[in-house]
Amino acid sequence: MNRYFVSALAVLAGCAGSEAPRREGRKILRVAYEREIDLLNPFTSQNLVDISFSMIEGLVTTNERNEYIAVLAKEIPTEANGLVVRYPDGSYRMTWPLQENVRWHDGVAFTSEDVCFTWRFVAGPKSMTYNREQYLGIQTCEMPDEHTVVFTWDGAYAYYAGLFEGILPRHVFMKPDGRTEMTVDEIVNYEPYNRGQRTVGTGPFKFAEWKTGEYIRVVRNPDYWRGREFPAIDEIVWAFIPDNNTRLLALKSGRYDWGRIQPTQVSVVLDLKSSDVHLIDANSVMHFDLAKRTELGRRLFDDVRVRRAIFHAIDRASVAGKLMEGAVKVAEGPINPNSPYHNANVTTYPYDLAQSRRLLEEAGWAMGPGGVRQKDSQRFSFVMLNRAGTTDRILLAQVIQAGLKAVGIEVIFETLESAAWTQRWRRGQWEAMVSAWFLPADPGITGLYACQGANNMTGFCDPALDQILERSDQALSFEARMPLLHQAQAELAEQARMLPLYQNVTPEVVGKRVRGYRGSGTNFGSFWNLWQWTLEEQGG
Amino acid sequence: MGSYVARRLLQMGPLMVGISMVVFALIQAAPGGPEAVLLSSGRFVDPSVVEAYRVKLGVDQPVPVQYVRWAKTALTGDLGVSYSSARPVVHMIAERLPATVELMGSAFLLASLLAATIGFASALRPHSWIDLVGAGASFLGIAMPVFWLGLLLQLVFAVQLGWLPVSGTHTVGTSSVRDHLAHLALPTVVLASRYVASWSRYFRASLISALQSDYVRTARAQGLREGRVVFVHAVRNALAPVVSVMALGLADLVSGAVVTETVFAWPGIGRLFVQGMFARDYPVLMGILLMGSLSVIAFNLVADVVYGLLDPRIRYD
Amino acid sequence: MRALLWRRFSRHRAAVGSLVLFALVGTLCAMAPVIAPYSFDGIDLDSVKQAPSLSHWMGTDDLGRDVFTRMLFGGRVSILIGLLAAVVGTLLGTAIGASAGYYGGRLDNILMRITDVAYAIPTLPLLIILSAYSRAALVSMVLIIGFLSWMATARVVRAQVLSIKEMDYVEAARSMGATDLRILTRHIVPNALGPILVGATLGVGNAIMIESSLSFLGLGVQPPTPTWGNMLMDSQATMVTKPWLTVFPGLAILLIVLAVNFMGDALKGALDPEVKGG
Repeated sequence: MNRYFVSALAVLAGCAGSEAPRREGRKILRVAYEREIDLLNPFTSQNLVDISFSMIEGLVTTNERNEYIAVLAKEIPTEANGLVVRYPDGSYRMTWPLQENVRWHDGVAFTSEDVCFTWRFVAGPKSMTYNREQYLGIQTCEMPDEHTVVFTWDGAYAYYAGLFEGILPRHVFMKPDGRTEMTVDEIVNYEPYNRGQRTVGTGPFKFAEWKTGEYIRVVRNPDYWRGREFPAIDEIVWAFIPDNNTRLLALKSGRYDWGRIQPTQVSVVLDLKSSDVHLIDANSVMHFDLAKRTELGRRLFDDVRVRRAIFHAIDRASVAGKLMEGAVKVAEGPINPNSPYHNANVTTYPYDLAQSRRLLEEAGWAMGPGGVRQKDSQRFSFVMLNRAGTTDRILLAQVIQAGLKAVGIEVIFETLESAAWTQRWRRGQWEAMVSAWFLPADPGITGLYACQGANNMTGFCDPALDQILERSDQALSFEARMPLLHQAQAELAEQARMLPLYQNVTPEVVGKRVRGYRGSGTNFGSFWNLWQWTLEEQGG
Repeated sequence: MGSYVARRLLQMGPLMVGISMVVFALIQAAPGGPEAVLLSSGRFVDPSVVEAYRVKLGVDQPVPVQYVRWAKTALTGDLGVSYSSARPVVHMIAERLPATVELMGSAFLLASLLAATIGFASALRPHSWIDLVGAGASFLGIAMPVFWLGLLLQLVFAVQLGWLPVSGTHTVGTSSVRDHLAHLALPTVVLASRYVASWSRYFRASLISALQSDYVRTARAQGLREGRVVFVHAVRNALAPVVSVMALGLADLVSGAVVTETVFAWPGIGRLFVQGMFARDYPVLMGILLMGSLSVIAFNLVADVVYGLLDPRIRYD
Repeated sequence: MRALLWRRFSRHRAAVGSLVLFALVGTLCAMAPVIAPYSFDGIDLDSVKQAPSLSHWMGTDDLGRDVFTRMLFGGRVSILIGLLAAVVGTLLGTAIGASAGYYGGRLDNILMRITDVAYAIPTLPLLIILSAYSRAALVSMVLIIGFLSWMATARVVRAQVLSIKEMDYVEAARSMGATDLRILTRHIVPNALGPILVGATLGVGNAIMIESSLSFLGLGVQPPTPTWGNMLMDSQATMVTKPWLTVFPGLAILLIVLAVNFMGDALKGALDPEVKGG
């Protein structure tokens, strides 16, 4: 008898004749999911798209080693395999061979038409896809046959292999006449696709049920293109349990096979008999950002010695080892150490208060009244912008505050509710904050650190670095790109632009009966190989 | 009484228009906009997408213009489409409301029973040990934060004893009533505990004054039996203030159960509201708030009518 | 007169105990800078998350700060905000409820509809707006919490006044030419004291809890300054793993709420000559 049955019996203790919650013989994977998702279209959802990806597949996905791998594409085009060809005018032709014999869940064949349709949708001005601009380099989408797509790009874009993580079924988005495609706006608002009734994909699972605010249920796709033996699981229930404590207890109660928890909760689940904890290195670095878009920011942080002094005053080893209970590792740069693009040989800023004070003196900041340093009657005091509700970041902010107090720098907190915080952040009206990004497997960091980078709100700008970053974005092969990114990481550390605090981890609690799980820390998540997962029957 | 109720009902129209304007202005005045959602998962987002999003939703327009546009469609019964889920707000509310009403209803029943028992017992014997224990127990309910009490109960009854489920409304794949009630038990207790303290204290206070009032003394002097005095005269008079507090509690459909719903992953309207607020999903917020205001006004009217019935000396004119 | 009040008050044994407890906690918190064994913002990453021990009676928090010290400092803010905000809310609610109930008619209708609207307007967006435009200060927080919590008192007082004003002694006072103000303050409000005091004493605990949710929205007291409320909220995430971080502030709030309530009860008995507590 399996565990669920036992616990369900306990629930119904004393209630004779009640039905068992688990239908006989079905293998059901129960996931305690940390968010209540908004909609299933992977391009317009504002959540990470684990659930969509059980039903919807794309040309590519990412594996546990931060690599892009082909799914609906037979292989990823590269210059080496001859599928990427440069033209004399600087444009590129990329040929994507597609898997044959793939059918949508409703039986319609998947073809190159669907891929080109997806491109037209995402690149459309109203698609609101978060990385829409990355698709704008594609000039044309050609379909030489049903199983080949050829994109013509107007230049070299290193991130090309990370696009099309989902493909939309063109036939679902036809107007009632059956011949014209819906407009982009109509697709965005098409409820049957967003909500499940017609969320057809090519993936291992088919949509079954969505109880708003409670769960989404998907069932095995019997006609999965990888073979009838896949997937081995009959059904997945994604139960939405947004509260961190509740989810922890739910996992402890043994009724779930899978769930993400907080790094500081790891010790509580280590002794669970039914599950293991996997610490997944996320593509996310918790870091301390300084900004100089305001007058005060320029006055305080322009001098690189000052920035280095600040970084030396922060005890990151204790943060990782004590505050985070050793679940995380100190980071030294923005790129995940698991990624082949990571550079481990960069300038580091060990905790050293004497060095910090020396640098501040050197930069002309002398100790003033009240233990706060001064220079030209300017006190060294600034406001750190905290986002309300992010308890862990506010704890880090307090460590930074205390460290800087020790070297004569005053930090005052201002805490704002999330949306208000976002507004202030985007407008550059701040001097310092603790923050973190969630990056794709693609190692491009131009958006964060280039002068005009879309997500560089700090006001730091270095034309020389811009050149390196730009070249790294145009390098199509690993061999060409890696040295450039190594150089950029070294330069960033040297300039002390931001202080990486630690590499974020996502602890994932996975039932011992789950086989085939290979956790991934990219923004595509850990369910990328669900078709290989199995549930082992356990006696009991 | 009839004309009083009619007048109050007539006032509801202008009152709702006023509330909708205030609320619309208020939620728009909160800094930050719906574009914050685009950035909430921590992914890179193109700034052009952020701007286009604002234009598409129309939140780049002046607030009065947006209000008029919203009000026009709202008058036809269409509350608009949610920014974040692209679904009609009416559907979203309709899906969530039953769960909240069920939870509030069961908590209300439990809380009334407990509050009546505690309040009654302590008023009859003020300062006795029964009173002390009753007060202590009911104060646990308000002085203990909801998330704390909830987790404690989950820890004991779900994790340690395994008698009840941790969260949700039912075990997926079953539709048995018992299973559903097992899921309802803990959230009901937690939510009820919030109300017991205040209701029982108000009931106790007004019952004590009623028992010492002239008419009860008169009734006693006239030789009426104690039981009859207490039940018929005192309780009836003591209920009026309690009824108004209870009405306020019941009317608080929107935010009354937010934390309980979150802790127990209960798919109610409160969670929808809080998510909507953080996402600045204005159509969803307006829809929920209008419904909430309507329930506040309606329950307060009911409460006013109820005291008129309880206490014949009160006349409305 | 004062002696009489005290004699009546002291008949209520739980209240006397509460008074002693309240005075003790109050004094300890007031003397926090003198008696606290550590400093409230003294981060010590070498001794984080320690369970209660001899050197740290209530353990240490996520940053290695002494919880006992933070409890002492936190109590100063929490008790002050709790009491003051409850007073503001109760005064406002009583004034509005009593006038509405006493004068009736149009004024009643207007005041009560304002109450309805005030109750219907959601506090969450209001607080978010306030948090963006105001700096957290004791006075503004007391006022904000007070203005958020007068509605229940107003409705209860009105309900009570509606029945009191029909009483013979009110009629008698009126026929002897007493002014409305005098009747309200001398006859009506004292007789509605029961529900008013209940509202006020419940308000104390409520205000302490609201303060903690304010700090959750960024409007409350900013870290590292502790309050019982923000200590409680901040430890929410570690409630299962580090229970002592929630237990102590939780217990403190519970005890203070209980004590205030018993004292309110006894005070009511002492002020109201007709009530004979048993």
